Amino acid sequence: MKEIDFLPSWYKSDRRQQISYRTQYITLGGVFVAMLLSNFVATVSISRATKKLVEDEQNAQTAAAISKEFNDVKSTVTGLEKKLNILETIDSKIDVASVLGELSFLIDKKIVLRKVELLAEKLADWPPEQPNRGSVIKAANSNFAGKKTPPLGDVRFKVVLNGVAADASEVAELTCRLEESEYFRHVYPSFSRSVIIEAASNTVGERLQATEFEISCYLANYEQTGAVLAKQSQSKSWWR
Amino acid sequence: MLFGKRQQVVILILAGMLVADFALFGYLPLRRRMIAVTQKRTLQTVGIAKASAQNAQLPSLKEQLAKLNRSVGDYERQVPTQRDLGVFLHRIADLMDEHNLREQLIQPGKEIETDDLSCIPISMRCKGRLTEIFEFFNSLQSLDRLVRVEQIKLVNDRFFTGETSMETSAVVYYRYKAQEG
Repeated sequence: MKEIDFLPSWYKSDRRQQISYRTQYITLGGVFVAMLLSNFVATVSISRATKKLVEDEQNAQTAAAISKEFNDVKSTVTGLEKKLNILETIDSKIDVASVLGELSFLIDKKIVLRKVELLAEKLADWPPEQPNRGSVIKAANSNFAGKKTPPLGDVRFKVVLNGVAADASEVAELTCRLEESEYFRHVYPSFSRSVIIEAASNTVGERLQATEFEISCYLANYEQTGAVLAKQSQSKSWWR
Repeated sequence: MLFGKRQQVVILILAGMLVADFALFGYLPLRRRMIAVTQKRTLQTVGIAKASAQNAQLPSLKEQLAKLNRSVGDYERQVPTQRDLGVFLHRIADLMDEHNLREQLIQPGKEIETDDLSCIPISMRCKGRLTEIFEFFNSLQSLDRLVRVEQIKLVNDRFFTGETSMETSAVVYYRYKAQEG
């Protein structure tokens, strides 16, 4: 059986167009609503972020104050560290009165000192220059051309004790005491020999048999680090 | 037919206006505000986090500061910005007088200049009892100005009477004003 379409084609075409327009209007409407929703969501999101920003403003101010305090303290610490560095470079770190006190404590009544010498040696200068090794020309003045080394940096103190003792055993005992003392290290007796000395008396100079000696040592107020020791061992190998 | 075409044009214009309106008056300003707020928020969060870390370090830093303050002491007096050599030499002479040291000789040497400091070598000589010399050194080390001792030579007299002659090489320093710490 065959169906017969009685509707005219212009009517059907018009109808299709109407549906198409309606669809387009609906789509536009949907897009508009979507846009509105999107705007709404974005606005809510922004307002929430702004609210959080305002809420944390107090914390941010406190944080800024803490940061400022931290930076101030840090810059003061940096300045003080610089000052301390300068002081460390300047200070030879010797308490002369204490050293003399310790020496007085260690030296027995049977020993009289003739000379006490404390001499600063720069730690960086180790080992001391060997005079005239392999060179024909010798400088008469170490500060040649006016190039004086500034008295700065770490030093160790060499202590030289020169005196007379009643006998040689007193010298040996003094050496032992110096070795045991926490104030001194590297104690070396330079020499010890018998001498006749002239002592003060009311009438005439009394002549006595005694032992003249010289002991050298270093103040134990420094520490040699690995770099210095490495430098020492390297220098020693050059000497061989 | 003409009406249909006009309607299609209206739809297209409406669509264009809608998109333009959304882009110009909705999306773009909101995006700009969002970026600004996010940036502010990020900065704020980073700032708070940084401050929190700094706050944790602050007590130890303050402790270090107190320690350094104790170690450095009165730096301005220890290493002054002025030479003040006359005052210092006068003070040394006074100390020697106070401790009954005789035959005094205090002689400043030629200044040596470094990058930050100027060094003035001073040679001191005197005679007295060992106890007096001991007291002199005690006083010398308690001076405000920092004195670097380079060499000390104490020599007993020929008859060992206890009369000691003292020779000391020391150095005092002053800073250049331009490089004031």
